[in-house]
Amino acid sequence: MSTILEMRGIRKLFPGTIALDGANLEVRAGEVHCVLGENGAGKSTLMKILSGSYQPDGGEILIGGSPVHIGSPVQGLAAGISVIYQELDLFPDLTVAQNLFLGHAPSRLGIVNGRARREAARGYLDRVGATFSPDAVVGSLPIADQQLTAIARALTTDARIIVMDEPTATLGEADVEAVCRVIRSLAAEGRAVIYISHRLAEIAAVGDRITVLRDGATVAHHEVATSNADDWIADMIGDKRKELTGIHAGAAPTGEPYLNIERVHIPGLIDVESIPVRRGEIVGIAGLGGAGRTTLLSAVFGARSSQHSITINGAPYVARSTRAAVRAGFGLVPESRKTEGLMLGLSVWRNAGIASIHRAPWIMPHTVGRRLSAPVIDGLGVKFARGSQAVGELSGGNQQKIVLAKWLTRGSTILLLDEPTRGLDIGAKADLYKQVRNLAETGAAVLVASSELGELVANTHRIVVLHEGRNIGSFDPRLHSEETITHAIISGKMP
Amino acid sequence: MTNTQLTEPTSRSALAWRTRGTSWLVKGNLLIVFAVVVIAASLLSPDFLTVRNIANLLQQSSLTGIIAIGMTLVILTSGIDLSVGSTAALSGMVVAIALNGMVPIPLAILLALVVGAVIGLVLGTVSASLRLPAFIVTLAGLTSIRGIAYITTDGRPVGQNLPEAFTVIGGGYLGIIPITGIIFIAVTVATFAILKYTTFGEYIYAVGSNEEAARLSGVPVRLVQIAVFGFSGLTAAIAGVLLTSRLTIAQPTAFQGAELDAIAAVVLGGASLFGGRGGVGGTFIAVLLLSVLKNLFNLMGIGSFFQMVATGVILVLALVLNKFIDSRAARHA
Repeated sequence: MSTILEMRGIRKLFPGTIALDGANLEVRAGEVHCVLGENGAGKSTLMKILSGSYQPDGGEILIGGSPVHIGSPVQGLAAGISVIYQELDLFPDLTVAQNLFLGHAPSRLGIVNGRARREAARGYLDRVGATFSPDAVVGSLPIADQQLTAIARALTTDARIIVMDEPTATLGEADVEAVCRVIRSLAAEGRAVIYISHRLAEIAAVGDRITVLRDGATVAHHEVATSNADDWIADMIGDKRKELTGIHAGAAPTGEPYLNIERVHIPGLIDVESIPVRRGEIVGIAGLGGAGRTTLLSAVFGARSSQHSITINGAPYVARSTRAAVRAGFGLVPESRKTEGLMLGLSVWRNAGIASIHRAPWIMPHTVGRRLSAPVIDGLGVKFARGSQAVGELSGGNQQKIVLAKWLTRGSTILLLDEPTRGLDIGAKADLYKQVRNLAETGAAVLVASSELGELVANTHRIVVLHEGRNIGSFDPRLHSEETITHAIISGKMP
Repeated sequence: MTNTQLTEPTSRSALAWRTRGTSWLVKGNLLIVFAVVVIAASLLSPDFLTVRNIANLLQQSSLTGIIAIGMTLVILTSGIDLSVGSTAALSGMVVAIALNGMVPIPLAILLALVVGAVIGLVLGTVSASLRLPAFIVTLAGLTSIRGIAYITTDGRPVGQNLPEAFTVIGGGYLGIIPITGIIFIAVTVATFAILKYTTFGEYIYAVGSNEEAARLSGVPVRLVQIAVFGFSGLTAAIAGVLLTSRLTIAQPTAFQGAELDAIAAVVLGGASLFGGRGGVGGTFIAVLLLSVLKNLFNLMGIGSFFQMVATGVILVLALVLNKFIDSRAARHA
């Protein structure tokens, strides 16, 4: 088998972080090559560079032995690279045949030859083993069939290199098998398949070779046939001991739980049981992407509906709506501060005060919001020019503090933080966690979901591990190493 | 954070000055255009700056203006209300029919206002609760409410013998100022106060600025959306009652296309159709500006067909200017 793709020494910088530095990938024609790595190891960034969505800051890409420049996704397609994303980028209102040939439909003088298109589409659908009609509207198909449609579309451009980013994340077991069969047959045709998945069992079943990324660099290669999942996990985790900072949140507070999540259930997504949080306690929620961290927090906050049984201070709480949640003392720092956390066009004071102007007589909101939030903003050490400045003009760390200030101003007693440090630099991260610890010391119950385990280890009293929607157990970060916890996060098995 | 540390203090204050200067220009730009048009008008025609003409002008622009004030709140939440013209017409019919039926004047007016507000609340509820686009819901309102206005009298005008105490509201003057003008100003000031000094007003901006963030902050988003439509229906009803009063007759054909005039004024006034930005002050000036332009064209003897074209062109030019100044301000910020 000959090498079809080589990525050498790929480097990619984002403001404040190094996403990739020294990432190598060598893929042969006719193999299924799996890329493994923890959250944030750089898998997606590497694939986006390959597809042409991102431009690398260093390194080179060779296809068939000759260097190529992939300046855009269109050039990527032309170079024979097709990416099937996890969130399928299909057009749900168009038919399968239309989706397959969008942009390159068989036509004459600008008039599409519908019959030729349908027949060609049927040919590609047969090759992926699909049994549905090319005239079916994509949005009406089950997810597994949509996945097959996306794969068939990759074939229509005659891609030699097909990248699949977690194609099975939303599929049931039977469907996973079908997709795996198709992947094998693509490789048998001599194409190269680059396969990204968190499900190690699948990789053992479908993969030929493995490249492991850690902290933006390639750290290991494995032959699937001669290695096992424990080897892979060891390389993904690396030697974390030297990274341990030794800063811990201190002894966990004792006493009755203040917030007690007895059960939260959304069929097909999450089924979480028994997460008690005491006053003054910071509980971390760890898990892979798609394990249900965000879903759990938004369900508890009433932002999405679920079957649940939750008590606050012993009294039952119903997450009927976000308003009910806020009234019950919850505050959510959502995953995306720009689209969910802040009103970017409005001022610092107005953003910080928006949750605290609900009291009668409902007048002078600016004065009230400013009076209540000013000391909070001051205490958090937010840097800004004027309180009337639009919050969108602040740096990421200061923006995140304003989201936090919104709830401190309100006097929320239960804080839910979802990836609170995303996009922040190291100083801002440390600062934010310091504020969260201060907050817990004043008696708040805090839940922090994060994909950065190191942060949780350093800043929480207890870490609950979610795996495929279930909480499989919890760890005391003072007693367990980061390696042990990571192993549980990836494998879904408690030690 | 790093940025602020890296920037020299001197250049920072210079930047602040420039930003402040530009933001003043953004806010003042409509006023400047307005002043230019007024000066041009008074130079072109000695009749322009007469008390009579200005009173006339206020009289003419008040009704559209009142509707536009209500529309401003809807647009601030990133909604749109196309039903206002029809609602105004129906409310005008209701008040005339009630007066003809010997209902006391205050009660008749109240009835008409309630009808307008309820229509707005119903449309708002349908749009917000079922998550249907306001554009379509109020478009349906536009036709069906107009239909109801016709049905009330089978398409005939109504109210030949309206009491004089009623007709004085729309046609009368307080000294030299038309009463409708005073009502327009009062509605503007009251709405300004609601927007600026009540929690409801703050929630309007929050919802328009980022609906999802507002929802996740515990803001009663749907209630706010419903309420602004109720308010818009109410202001439309006020305009409807005033027109019936001024004309001493109610016609089911009144206020055709008023929704478009109102939307034009709101947008010209600097409000963003995506919500969250703007205010009633801008709308107020824009209403007067459009009216002065029309007046100017009349004084210059430009035919009404040409006026329509010119008004459209000016509207677009004003928006381009706004956008230009905005993007400059954004670059400096």
